[in-house]
Amino acid sequence: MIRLPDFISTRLQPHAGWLALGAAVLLSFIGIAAVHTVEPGYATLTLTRWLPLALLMLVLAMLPHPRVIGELTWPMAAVTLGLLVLVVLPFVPRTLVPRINGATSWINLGLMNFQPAEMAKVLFVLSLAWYLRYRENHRTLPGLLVPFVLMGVPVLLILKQPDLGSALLLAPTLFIMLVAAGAKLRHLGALLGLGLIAVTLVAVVTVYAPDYSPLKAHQQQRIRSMFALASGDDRYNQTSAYQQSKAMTLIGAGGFSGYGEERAAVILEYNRLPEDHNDMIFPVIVNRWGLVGGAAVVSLYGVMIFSMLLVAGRSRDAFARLSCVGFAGMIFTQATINMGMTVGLLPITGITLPFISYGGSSMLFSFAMVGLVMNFASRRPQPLARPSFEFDHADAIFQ
Amino acid sequence: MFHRRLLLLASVMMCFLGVLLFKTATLTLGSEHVQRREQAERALLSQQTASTIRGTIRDRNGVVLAQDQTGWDIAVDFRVLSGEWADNQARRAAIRALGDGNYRQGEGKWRELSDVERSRAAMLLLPTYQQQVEMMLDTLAGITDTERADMDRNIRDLLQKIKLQRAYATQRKYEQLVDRYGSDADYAEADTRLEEEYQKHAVIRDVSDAARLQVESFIASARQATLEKQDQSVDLVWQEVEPTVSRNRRYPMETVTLVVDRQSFPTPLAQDEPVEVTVPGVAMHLLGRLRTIHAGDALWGQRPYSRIDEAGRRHVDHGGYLNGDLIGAFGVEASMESTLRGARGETLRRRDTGNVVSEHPATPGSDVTLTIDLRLQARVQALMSHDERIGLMHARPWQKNTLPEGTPLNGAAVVLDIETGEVLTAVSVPTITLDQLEHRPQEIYGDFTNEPFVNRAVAYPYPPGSTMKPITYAAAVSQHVIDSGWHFNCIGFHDANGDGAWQESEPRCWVFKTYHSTHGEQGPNDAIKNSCNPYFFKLGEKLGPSQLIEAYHRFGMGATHDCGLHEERPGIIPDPATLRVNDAVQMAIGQGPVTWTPLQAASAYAAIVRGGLYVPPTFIVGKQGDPVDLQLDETAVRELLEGMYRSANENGGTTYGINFSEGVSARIFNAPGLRIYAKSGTATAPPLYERSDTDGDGIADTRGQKLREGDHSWTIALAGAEDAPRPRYVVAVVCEYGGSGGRTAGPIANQILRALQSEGYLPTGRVDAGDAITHDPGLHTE
Repeated sequence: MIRLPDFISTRLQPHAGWLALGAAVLLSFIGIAAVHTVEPGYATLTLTRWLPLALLMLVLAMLPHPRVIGELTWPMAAVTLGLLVLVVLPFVPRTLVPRINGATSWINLGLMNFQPAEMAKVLFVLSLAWYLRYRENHRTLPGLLVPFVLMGVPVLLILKQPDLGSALLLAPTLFIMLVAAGAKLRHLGALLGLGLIAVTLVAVVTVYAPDYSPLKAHQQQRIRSMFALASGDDRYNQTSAYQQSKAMTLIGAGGFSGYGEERAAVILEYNRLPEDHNDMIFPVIVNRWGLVGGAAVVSLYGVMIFSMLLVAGRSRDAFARLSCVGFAGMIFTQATINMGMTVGLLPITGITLPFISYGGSSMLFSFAMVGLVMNFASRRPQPLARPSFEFDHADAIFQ
Repeated sequence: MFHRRLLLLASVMMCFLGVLLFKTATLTLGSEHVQRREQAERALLSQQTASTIRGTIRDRNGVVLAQDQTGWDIAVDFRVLSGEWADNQARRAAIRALGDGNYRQGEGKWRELSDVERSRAAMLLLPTYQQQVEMMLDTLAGITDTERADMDRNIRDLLQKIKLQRAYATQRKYEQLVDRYGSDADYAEADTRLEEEYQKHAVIRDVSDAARLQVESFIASARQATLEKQDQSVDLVWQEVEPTVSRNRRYPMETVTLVVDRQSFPTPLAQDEPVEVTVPGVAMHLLGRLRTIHAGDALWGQRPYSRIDEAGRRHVDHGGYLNGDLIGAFGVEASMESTLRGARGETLRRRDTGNVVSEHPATPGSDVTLTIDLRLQARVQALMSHDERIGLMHARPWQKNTLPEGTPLNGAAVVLDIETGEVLTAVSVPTITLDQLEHRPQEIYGDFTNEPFVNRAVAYPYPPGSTMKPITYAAAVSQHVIDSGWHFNCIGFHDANGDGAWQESEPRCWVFKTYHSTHGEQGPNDAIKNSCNPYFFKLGEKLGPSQLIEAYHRFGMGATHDCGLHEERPGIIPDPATLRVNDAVQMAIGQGPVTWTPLQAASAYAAIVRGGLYVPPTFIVGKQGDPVDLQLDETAVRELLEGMYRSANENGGTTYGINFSEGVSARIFNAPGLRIYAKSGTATAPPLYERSDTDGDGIADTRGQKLREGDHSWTIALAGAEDAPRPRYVVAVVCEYGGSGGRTAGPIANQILRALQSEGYLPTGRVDAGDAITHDPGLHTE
């Protein structure tokens, strides 16, 4: 069993993981203050319930040895898949799986509505890392098949809820992990190119020949309205581009130093920004603290990602390395897409800002990621560990 | 390798974050920031608008034709009208009865009942409440002096309308649900109530103050009863009634009743006793009507209430349109929209502090005075109505047309004041009435054969026929092609090749065609009096297409003149480059590719009387285009007036008399005390086919059987006092497929001159009815 002095002496020694934790805590407090501007009740709830629970989760994630975590990965992944299946089953009672905003993404646990997709994000990274840890065949094209299947199954289940936002996060994370794991960049490049061509095609078809678009009507509308906004066309501002144009307006209105809490609260209230405590929290931050606040948030994400990559770099254990890269990738992707859509660079989709947006499950599992990174960072390298993902013979990184 | 890859990943991620930061900076700094801050702070302002009053439309004598009136409507809650109120009350009463007067106790027992028992209990009490509703409606009808049947019709229409709206909304919502959840979508989830189903709706409009006060007293006693918890009171339903302020557009002179004297009618129609005629839809074509405008309307973009410019600033046009605004649909209501409309008031208030930021008072719309004389208009509409007792606009055997006797004719008439160019009267038959517009619009907008929606006086170009001849002569003189006394020998046809013999291709004179005779030597006034075709064929040939058309343009043809109605049409005057001399020969007598509207015809004749000064006609007092001098020489004007005078007053003139039957004939113009000049026209017209709109886009697309063919009948009459040097008014009348110009349109023009007399525009001479012609066997009419 774990003895406390031992825990303190090993797990709490200085390492890069602390930076990640510091950033996470700061971001959480920024989030609580921002949510307080628009929904004071939710801010209190985060402060008194979700943050303590999340810190508990962090500590729990720091305890087990990485090997134990690795060996538990497949069973836990199976449980997660089971939960993902449960929420999309047609005959599940709505008291257990309520439909909120048209999606069945939550399981009602009484105390909280638990979102399996958040758990799936963590388990996806862990299982991919566990799967890839001693392999080399992902450096061949056929070898990429299994990682893609590992991604495809949860993506399809999450899309069925439907929760496009969470589903969108897995693919970029997979790419980031494969890059780190040494997959050939030309393979990934080709796949990425194909994907880009497909996305471009869909976008072009949606904008210019809507009759042939494979997307659903409201998704088409969002893409069209984003193009319209970008080209200065305001005809969708009161309809489908409402959310995005409001978000951009409120960000711009914040200016360099922001309105301050009181004034920002008034401005935000009367501008009626939808989802302001949730997906649209970034405009609230910039409105209240201005560019300074926005830059602080972006920088804190930078610090967190950088420190996680640093932990990955210092670790010699393949599973730990890849997991850290995966978590960094996951947080990076989520934060970038969320902020990107609020500043008008990406179309609107339901995606939260990790650590900041209001949401219990999201906060618990975001801190679980930080906890795991801390866990991995605090382990002494095993002297006899096999070198991992070192495929080069002094060759270029572009192999 | 792993570390290099990490480095690569870190750099890419940092780049992305950099882009985000950069984009945030561009939004929050500089001009973007200023614009967006302005936009964000605008959301703090609440805008309250105050309505304005639309201007009044009056006739030339100050008679009010259209006016905004505030009044009181009586509104009743939708749930009372739909029966839901009675159902609810019955259920509540049943529950109360279960608990022996205690609702709480009753509720407990109610839950134990089965559905069947519940509905039986409620059903027993339902009639009481249904009777309450019925009595309330009966009382309302009684107080406000309304027919219960009319009220029921309004209620039925209202229920129907809201039911349709709800069905439509449900369908739309269901489609959205299907789009999101596929087969999981639930129709019941889409079927939600509309806000209208919780609102009160007007069931009786425009009630008197006394009636409103009475209704209010019923409401007050119902409220009192509720306060005192007399739940069984019969008056309870009155709580769901409310008087509401309404703003309505009134057309007080829409229906006019007047007496028509028939003694001077054409002999077979003449009657000794006058007849009282009620004319609905007086001047409706001219006044127009209001309609609501909604976002997406063609006119919406032209004048939105507020718009945001490229720099993000909001501009308010207080006269602009908001969703659901009433705007003119046609007629003067549409053409003078910007004058009549007025501007809304607007108060901008800070939502957070409640402070007033800016205040702009409402300005009422300006009034518009028409040149129309309402009484004269009504009189002419009565004369041209399809009332059998009048019968002037019906096919008759003496008119030389192809229609069965009694067929109602369509047509138009215009009366123009020569001195001012003001239109005194403009009638279009078939007329449209307010009742049709409100309750049976299909009769107007669905009749593509008769097209009642067209204001024929200004918007229907007809072939002019011989009424064009004076214009052709005036053109030839003003272009110096002939001098004003030019003579010509009519040999019965246009001798194009100069061989003196008639060829198939050479157009003939009407006397040659009908009687195989000729007019012989003709001076200008003879040619006008006899309507001699070859005289004008020759003029057409001499002028050629370009000079002829140039002259026609100067007489106001082929163009609109901003007369005050958007419906005004230019008529057809072709490009001379596409014409040959033969076309000019035809156009000279008003055939071939040339058309004009009755308004254009009246204006052109008025220009001749003024010695060649063309004054654009107008319907609006104080709104007229600039006159143009056509430089007609004095003699030419004299010759033309002389010719038209002889046409109306000398035996053999084409507007002189009508042979009704063997030995029965009469003068066409018989108004005493006037000097009358006239010109007839019998214009070849394309046949009329039955037309309909099968695809429902509002445009006729299907042609059915041929209904009418033959000639349009024109008469243009000029008249002034007997001793006046020149005529004062011009009357242009056209009857579609009426046959002979003088015989069909002539008697109508005559009656219009008499109407001008009875309204005091022209002096009345000695009274002598009839003026029967007893001699003259060889009475010719064109």
